[in-house]
Amino acid sequence: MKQNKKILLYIFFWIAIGCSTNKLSTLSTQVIALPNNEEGTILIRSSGHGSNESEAVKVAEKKAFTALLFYGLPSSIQTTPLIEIESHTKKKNISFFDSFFENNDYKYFMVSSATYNNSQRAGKYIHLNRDIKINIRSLRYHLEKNGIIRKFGY
Amino acid sequence: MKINIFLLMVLSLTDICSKGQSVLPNSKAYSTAQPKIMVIPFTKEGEDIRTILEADFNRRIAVTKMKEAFDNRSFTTVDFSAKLKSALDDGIFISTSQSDIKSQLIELSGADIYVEVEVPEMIKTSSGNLARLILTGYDASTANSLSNKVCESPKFNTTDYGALVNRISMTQCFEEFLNTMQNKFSEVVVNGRSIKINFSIQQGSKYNLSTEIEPDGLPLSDILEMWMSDNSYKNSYHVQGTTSVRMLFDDVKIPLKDEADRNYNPNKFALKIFQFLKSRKIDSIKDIKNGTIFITIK
Repeated sequence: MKQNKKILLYIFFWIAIGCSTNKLSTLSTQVIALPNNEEGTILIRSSGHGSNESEAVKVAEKKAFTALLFYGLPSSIQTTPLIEIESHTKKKNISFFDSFFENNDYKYFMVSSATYNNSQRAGKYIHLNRDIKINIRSLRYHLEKNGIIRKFGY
Repeated sequence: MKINIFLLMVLSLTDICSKGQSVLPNSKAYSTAQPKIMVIPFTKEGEDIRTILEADFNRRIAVTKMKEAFDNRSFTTVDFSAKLKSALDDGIFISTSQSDIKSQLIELSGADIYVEVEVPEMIKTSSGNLARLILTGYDASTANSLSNKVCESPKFNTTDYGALVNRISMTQCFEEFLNTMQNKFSEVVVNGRSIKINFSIQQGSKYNLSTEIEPDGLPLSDILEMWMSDNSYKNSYHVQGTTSVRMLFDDVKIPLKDEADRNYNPNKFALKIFQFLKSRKIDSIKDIKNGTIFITIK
């Protein structure tokens, strides 16, 4: 009987470990602003996952830009979104956003992008945190020039 | 013959189309008129605004940094020093009191919005000194607050206040201030801009605001409020108070554009009021100053 209990505990222990490992692979929604003194830029730490490192990097970078454009980042210079109404603007400017995200136009506004600590392998996924510095002044100008956001003023 | 008729039809259709196109330029989108913004230094009671910028290098740095932030957003501000200089040259100031000069300057600059930059005393601590800036953005007409921000420089072991002010982060301080202001502008785009309307009765007039006006026989003040309810943008207005000789609407929303997508301004709204009063056989005088409409009923 005692032996059975031990075996059951052993099974539960490994199930618990297994669950936590799965959670790690989906823990990929973190996007936070980091302190930054460089004028005209914003520093964002964003996590991403993918089947290989380059895919994970792309996910992290896109996530950083998505947060900056559509949600804003607390404790940063851009606490409110750069783009006011996400769905409306996306619908009206399909080609712009296709080119921005799918054709990697967003990379023009990246001052630097580096992996923080080492990437982790969780199951068949690679999970990493990326520190991305974005030239926000230039990005805002680009959005204004393309009519995605209003210039300063009415 | 049939071919000729067909050709005639095609030509007339082309003509109609080209005429339709020639109408297009009128329906094109006009660029929105932007507010005029002026950056001014904060002055305490007794301080002379006329000499403050020339004498105080630190305040000059602070004002210039704020203007630089507007420039970074490709927005041109009204230059305070230039306005002050030309006003002094023209001998425009009637009073010598500094507070009067400040309000007169705001009035004559035509600024819709002014940003006041306050530079308090240096903060001295054992780990270093720091400078602080207080930025306040107001609507010149309604005094509605548009943006506020307190910024601090990093701590340094220096007594050079100008250097500390210069160390205040442009991105952290001014960008956040401008972002808040831009959010308020977005509200203006959606809900209209605020103006103030002041109705008064000229001395010796046969009217006062309680006079019953034909054909409804309603008091003049109520007729004015009903008109405001119909004509303010999205029915948004606020009556500050009414007496028999004065009625003040301290916040009336007007749209930025009219139905034809042309820029709309307080002048056009004042004309609408004037025309309405005329339709009720009431003569009036209209004046517009800094987003405030003054209607005097004769």
